Amino acid sequence: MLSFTYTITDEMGIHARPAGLLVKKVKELDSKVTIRRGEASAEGTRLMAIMAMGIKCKDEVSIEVEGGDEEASLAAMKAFFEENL
Amino acid sequence: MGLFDFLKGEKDAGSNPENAPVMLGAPAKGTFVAMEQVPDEVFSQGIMGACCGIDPAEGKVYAPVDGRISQLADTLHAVGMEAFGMEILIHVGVDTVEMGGDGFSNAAAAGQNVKKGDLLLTMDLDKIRAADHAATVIMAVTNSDDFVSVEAVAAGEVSPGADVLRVDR
Repeated sequence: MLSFTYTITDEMGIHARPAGLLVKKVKELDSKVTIRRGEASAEGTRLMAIMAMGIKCKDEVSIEVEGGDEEASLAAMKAFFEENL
Repeated sequence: MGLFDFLKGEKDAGSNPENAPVMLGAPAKGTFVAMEQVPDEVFSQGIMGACCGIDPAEGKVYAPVDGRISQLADTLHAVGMEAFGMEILIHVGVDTVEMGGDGFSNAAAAGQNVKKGDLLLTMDLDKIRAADHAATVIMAVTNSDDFVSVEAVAAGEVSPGADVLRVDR
């Protein structure tokens, strides 16, 4: 399992549009992706679960990738968060 | 409306309610918009799951099916529901998250059980248009991959609750 932490800089946080794009990206990967903030977590393929976390600007989240090509998945997730969130 | 009648008949004939198709009603009064025509590419390309839209004639959004309100955006422009294993997102307008809740008001709360046709939220269509956003009420089955198919079964003008999407399980 590999992970990284990221602080959200998009002022709207993870609302419907970025959540949808995130799920689309995760589905392209061969790793299981988990989004965590504190005690709360959601699988990276579950759009509504991610939206329900209500992740806001300046929140720190951790993204875990497990299985498959973890290094490639981690790099893809880092790139996604930096570009979109 | 022969096709429509056929689908209704098939629904009624479902002998096993566990597997019977579920019909989702129009979440608003207005003009039906097919997924491909929804003016927001994350929806029109199916990224948010199978969906449809209603170009609303009035600023009221109703429950499309019996279920539970799973979440309500702080900005009140989006409601999540769980029903029959479906995760349903009702998103009012395009980029309306930018309105920060202005013009929106909720009539139901997260965690609440609702019946099809219950009022979920109201929105000020003039304010949405003044903010230069499309007001399309978009309804997506965000976990549509979990189902056999989600088909549009409506066209033209629809009343709240009129069958618009058929979900085969």
